[in-house]
Amino acid sequence: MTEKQGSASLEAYIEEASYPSKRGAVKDSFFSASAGELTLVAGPSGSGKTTLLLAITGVLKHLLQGDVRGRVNLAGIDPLTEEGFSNVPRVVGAVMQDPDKQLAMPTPYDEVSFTLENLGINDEGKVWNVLREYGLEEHAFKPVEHLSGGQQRRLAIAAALAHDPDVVVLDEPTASLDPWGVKSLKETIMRLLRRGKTVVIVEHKVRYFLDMTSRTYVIKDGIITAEYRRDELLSSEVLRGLLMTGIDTLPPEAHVRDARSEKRGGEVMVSLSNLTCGYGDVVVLEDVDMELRAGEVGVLVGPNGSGKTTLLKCIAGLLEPVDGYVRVMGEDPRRAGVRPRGRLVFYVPQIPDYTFVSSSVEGELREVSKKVGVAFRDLVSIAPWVKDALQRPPYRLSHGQRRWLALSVGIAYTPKALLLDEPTTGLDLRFMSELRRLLTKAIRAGAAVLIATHDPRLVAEVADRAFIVDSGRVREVSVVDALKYLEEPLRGS
Amino acid sequence: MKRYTVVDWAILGLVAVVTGVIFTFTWNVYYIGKALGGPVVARALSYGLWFIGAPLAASLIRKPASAFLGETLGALVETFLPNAGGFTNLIYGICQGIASEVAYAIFGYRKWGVLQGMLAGAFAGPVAVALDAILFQSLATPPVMLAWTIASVISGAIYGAIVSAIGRTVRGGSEK
Amino acid sequence: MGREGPVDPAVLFIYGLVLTLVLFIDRDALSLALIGAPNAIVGFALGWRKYKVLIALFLIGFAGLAINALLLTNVGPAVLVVGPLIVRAGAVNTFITIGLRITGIAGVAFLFVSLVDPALAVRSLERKLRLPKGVCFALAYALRLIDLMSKDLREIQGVRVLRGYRSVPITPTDIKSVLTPLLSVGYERALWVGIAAELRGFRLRKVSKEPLRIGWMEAIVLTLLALQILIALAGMLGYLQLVVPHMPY
Repeated sequence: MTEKQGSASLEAYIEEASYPSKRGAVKDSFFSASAGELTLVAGPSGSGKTTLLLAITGVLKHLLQGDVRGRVNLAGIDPLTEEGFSNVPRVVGAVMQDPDKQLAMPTPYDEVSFTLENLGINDEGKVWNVLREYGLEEHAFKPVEHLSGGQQRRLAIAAALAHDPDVVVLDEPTASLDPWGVKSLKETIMRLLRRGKTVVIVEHKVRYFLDMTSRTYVIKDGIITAEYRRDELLSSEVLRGLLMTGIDTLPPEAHVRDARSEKRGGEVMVSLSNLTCGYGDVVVLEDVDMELRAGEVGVLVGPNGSGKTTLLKCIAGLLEPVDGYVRVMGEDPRRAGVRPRGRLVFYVPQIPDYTFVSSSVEGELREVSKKVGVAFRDLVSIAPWVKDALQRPPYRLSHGQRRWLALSVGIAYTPKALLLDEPTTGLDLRFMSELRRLLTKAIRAGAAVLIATHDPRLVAEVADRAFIVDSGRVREVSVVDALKYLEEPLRGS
Repeated sequence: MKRYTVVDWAILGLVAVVTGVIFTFTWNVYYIGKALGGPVVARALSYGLWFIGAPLAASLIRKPASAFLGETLGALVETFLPNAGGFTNLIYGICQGIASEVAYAIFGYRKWGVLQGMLAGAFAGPVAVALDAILFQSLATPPVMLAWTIASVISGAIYGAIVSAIGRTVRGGSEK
Repeated sequence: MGREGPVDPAVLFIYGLVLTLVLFIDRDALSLALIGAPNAIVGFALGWRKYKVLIALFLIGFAGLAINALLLTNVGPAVLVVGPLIVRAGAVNTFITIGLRITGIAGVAFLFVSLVDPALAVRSLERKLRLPKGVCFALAYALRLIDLMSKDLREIQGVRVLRGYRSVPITPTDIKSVLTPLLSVGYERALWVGIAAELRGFRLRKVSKEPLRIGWMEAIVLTLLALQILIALAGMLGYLQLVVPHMPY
């Protein structure tokens, strides 16, 4: 692909980029990107990837009152000047991490026409063309929350690129995306590259784009430290080196544990029989039978919206079964005598913030101590950083720390069934080993663990048993088959 | 005067929906309170919840007019969500928003803390009671009015303080 | 235009707001009846299918109004004796005036929400009533958030149950510990939504202003509005009187 290389349409040298509250989030970094090429900026969580995007688009300086020193040439525009910044939207389309964090309008139609109107295009026909291109035409006036996860993601891209900009930047586009979503994302990117667009992706899951990227930069602690051409990147030495820093470069098979524990044959903790669950009249899953024993880690895999979260909520007793029954250690969680119910079954939602009840980490741990009778001192000692963060609101911790705290709160309740919804979304590999450590702790306390996930890495590393949730049904498969199921959409694309 | 950025407008949208939904929820608190303790207790419990748009928006955005906009947009969202109050919500919201804005104006728009939030809630109280007097005319006899006013000022101050504290936690030393 | 419905949302917005103001300040029972009753009938009829529960709740509220009227304003000559209870003219008068006023206001409210899609109302506010783009962005975003945040709220309530806390907040402490995660998640999202909107050119936004659509339907609505304002004025100035042969009081 290198022979197709065009002229650099994006060139940036950031001497120093700072937030009002944090100096030097990105320093001394140069990178460039060319038309018709995919340029990847790879780095672990918190390495400054996103800051780099905010710096080169002028957002950090002009919207977030940060300070950026350096020079940027973005398709002929200097985003660091006030006038240049105003023109950035004309040449750039930016897709952010998560549809929840960028869709601002009540319906897809409004979302697309918002972009076009901003740029002075008041043309209904154009809106419809864009909706059609991304397969959203028949959902034009549906409330955004009624779209599937995949449709929301397509809408985010459609709305960012409605005006056909020359430079496209994507911030961790695969976070929380199922493998089918990743496949369709890659197809979209290919289409953009063929049309000669300059595409820049910042990501820690590099492996999804190894077959497409022309140039890869590695960013660590706010500094771009290395640059690899496509052929260099494919050497296994480089890939392993990146892996050490928390960047995911290897296919998941490489992580399947050597000594996969045989079924430990503990007591049956979760038992589902003939279970049908859903919301009101809408049945999401039918006839689910499952038994999970103490010490086992089960994973639920399947497309976005297939009902994985619904099943977890049903087991936690947060949704009433439409039919059939749920038993956790022989008890119906909705009517169990155990108080609080979290001592029987605990569900940790995908967004960890939902778990917190106090406005400081200390308050949070004291509440746990009060409810479950574990000494506060013991709770503080569970991780080295906790002692220094006691006075901070849990909401202001880093994303990884928030996940970690929410999970620790759940584990402190020593539930018989621990249910996790997408525990690794947006987190790099370093978190994976933490997660494994925490799960071991829960299992030692006698829990069965059930995890809903798209993450092949997680499946490979922790699963004893696997279930595919698809088309309203749940079936058990081997862990290897679950991995194949997750990888299949990505083969040959 | 500090300009409003699109981030500020998005935060106002957030405040509007939170307060709009809470306003709707407040009707339940009001009815429960009324069943258990009569109208004065009901107002003491619930009134302050109707005033939180202003101190919440102000403590998150910290720019002139944020208190007014927070309360007014919350009320407008409440109008779009169906409820029997309809456009009266908007009338109340605008008037209460102006009253709450004063709490920040008298500090020269330099302080956005819990004290200011308390005052913002308290200032909205008498205004709401005055509007009630127009809406409910003869029901609003002087002794009832006095009790309502006191109850709404206290309740407004309490919830104003609470949401400003929340605002401080949420905004924190946010780096982005 | 099909999406906009039979009447321009901006016209209905003006109708709703102005008429509610009129009902709010009108203190004359007869004009309140003349304005309130037709709006309530149309509004409740249009809204009945979608908003049954709300309308029912509203109607139940009349019991409270009756009790309040009896407790606070039961003065003047007796009108009705029901066992030990003597209902006096003051209470009847209160019940009728306030009842008509709030019924009219509720009728207008249901009329508006039944005929107008909120997302289009916001579009209309920006294009036709020329509200600032920031205000309209905030409103549109709020509408998008309603579903998303009710989902957030359900999740928060779920985990509270598991952790052993009340899921429906009652005390100020409850309210604080529910609102903080809700707002904290919302604040982070708002920040990114703002950034995304800026990168999509919000700063450059200039929508083409549109005039109000004035067709037959709009002309009728506006005429009705003017008529009702005149009725209220006449009522308040004492030009309206109901002549009944044997007034009880």
